[in-house]
Amino acid sequence: MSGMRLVNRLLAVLAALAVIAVGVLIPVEIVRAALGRPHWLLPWETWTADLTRNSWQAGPVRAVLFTVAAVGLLLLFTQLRPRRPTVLALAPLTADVAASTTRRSLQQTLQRAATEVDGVAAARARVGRRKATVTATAHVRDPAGLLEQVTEHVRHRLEGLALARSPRLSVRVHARESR
Amino acid sequence: MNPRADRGNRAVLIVLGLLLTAAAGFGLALSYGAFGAARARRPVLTPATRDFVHRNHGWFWLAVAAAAVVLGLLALRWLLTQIGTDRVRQLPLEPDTRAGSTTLAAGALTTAVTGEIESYHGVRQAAARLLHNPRRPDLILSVAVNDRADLAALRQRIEEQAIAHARQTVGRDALPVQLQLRLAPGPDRQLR
Repeated sequence: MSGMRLVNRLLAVLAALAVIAVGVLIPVEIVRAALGRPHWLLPWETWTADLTRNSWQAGPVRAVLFTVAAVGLLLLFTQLRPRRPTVLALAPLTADVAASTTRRSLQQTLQRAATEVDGVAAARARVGRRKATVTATAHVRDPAGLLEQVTEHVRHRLEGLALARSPRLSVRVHARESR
Repeated sequence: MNPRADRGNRAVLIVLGLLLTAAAGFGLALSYGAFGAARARRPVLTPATRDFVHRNHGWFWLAVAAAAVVLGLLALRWLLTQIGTDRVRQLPLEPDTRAGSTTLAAGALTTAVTGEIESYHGVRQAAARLLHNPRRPDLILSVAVNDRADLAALRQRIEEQAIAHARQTVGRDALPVQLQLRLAPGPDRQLR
């Protein structure tokens, strides 16, 4: 499970518990007030007095409004921010079979494909929805001829997978830093 | 874990975020005079509002309490979806249960399908589970494959043989399947 989903699950538990508390406390306070008893956990007498005394321009009222707005915007920002997909769909083959691969394993296989080329010391791959970038480090100081070979090898690996939407492939080869 | 719960969480959190932002935005607009300076100087709880509540206290507080209980119950349901998965353990095979019922243990099906897939050349490991509704389950397959194998042929074999056999077993040609292929290094690379 990815980090964001875990955060969301925590947020969901906290928000649900808060709403459940409201759902219990409000009826309890209403019944107590109807029976002429003082408040139990929600000091509604004080709140009523404060809200009757303070105008919309009052500092504490604005502070509460700004806090609520900040929480709301933060929630919207974290939920609506585009996430890199954890899985990428493969082109359909049979009816009612939704095939996919994980982005992480695709990155690793592209990395391995690049390092399988002779002369490549190491490689890093990043895959997004639209673009796949492979950066290879060459053993040799002059990697001019390697770029084509690495691109060919990585492209072959990528195409063999038949993704539903093939990301644009971008390959870079760096010479090993001379020491 | 339950992917439906994750989608649900995101949807509910977006709705919560929208509600909080809209309510606070409205209050701030009021506070900074967007609805007139006189409106901004009025108390948050006006005497008119208090009068209204006072005159209608019979149904008003009943409605507030009812709304709070409904919200609380919805939140309780949301909380319960966070725990547990909706994994299916028994599959009913007979649509008509009047003449007795036949069920298939989900484990028998998943063991058979993973065994078949793992026997294919190029497959490292396979896992299967049935999720959601027992009458209309989804088969979730996770297969680690050697990334140097012929993936097109391997996938065709999985879909046209193993998945077809699983569908025959449960008697549902349209059993929805989610097939996740993980690309793993080939065994030859580990020896190097």
